[in-house]
Amino acid sequence: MTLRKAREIQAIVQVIVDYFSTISNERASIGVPYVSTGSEDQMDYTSAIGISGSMSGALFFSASSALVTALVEQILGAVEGADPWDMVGEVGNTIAGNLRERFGSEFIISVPISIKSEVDVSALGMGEPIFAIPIRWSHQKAVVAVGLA
Amino acid sequence: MNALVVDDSSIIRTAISQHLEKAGHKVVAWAGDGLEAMKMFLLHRPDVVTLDITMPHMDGLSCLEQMLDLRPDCSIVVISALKDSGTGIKALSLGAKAFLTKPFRPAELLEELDRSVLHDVA
Repeated sequence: MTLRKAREIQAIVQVIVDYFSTISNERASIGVPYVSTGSEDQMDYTSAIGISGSMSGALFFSASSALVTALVEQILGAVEGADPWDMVGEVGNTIAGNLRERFGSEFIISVPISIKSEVDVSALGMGEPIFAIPIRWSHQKAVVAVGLA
Repeated sequence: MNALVVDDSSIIRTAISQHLEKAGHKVVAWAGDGLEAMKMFLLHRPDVVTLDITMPHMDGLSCLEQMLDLRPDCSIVVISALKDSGTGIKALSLGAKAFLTKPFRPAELLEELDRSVLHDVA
């Protein structure tokens, strides 16, 4: 991993940690990032954010159903009637949007795209290598995968 | 105060509405994209708007300009995941009363809202 790529991953890790610390009193635990094919990390709900401008590629957030339920409960106090796809889209959007603090306003993000079949990294235009960042929060699992060029 | 809540996430719209209503505001309408937001704005004439930026059809900054052209007295709080100073400065220079980045704690939202609304009354 190049120093530049390592700094990018570190910036994403910090945004993830800050996200979960702000919405709850529980800090997320971040695993060791690794090179991924993308689809191997897919869990129950996945949303992707396209990146253009100063960088190009995509970022996706994928989470277990239990983690999505815990997130909705944390934010709304109840889960009844809430759309889990909406929740994963919002997390992906927030993580990508928060990265502009580090990457600047030319880091342009798309609206969230729900991925209801297997992740197709070429269709998403994910630059290689793709790095997966494992997350554990509220005893549940999620992952952020990012492929930027 | 009558409020319009604009965000493409239904979960975030609901969360913001819950916080506003607990603080005594009345949420008169919701919108999930910029075009719907303009329709709701004209129909309900809210005192306060919470406005997301990254949305389908029309982005929040375009909505902000159009809303303030129509009703310069309306208090608009922009709430966005775009956490760069350029975006915040742009929103404020276009006339937003406050710029809040996601994720936010409920107290931060109410503080910004109170500050912008009270500032107008004073």
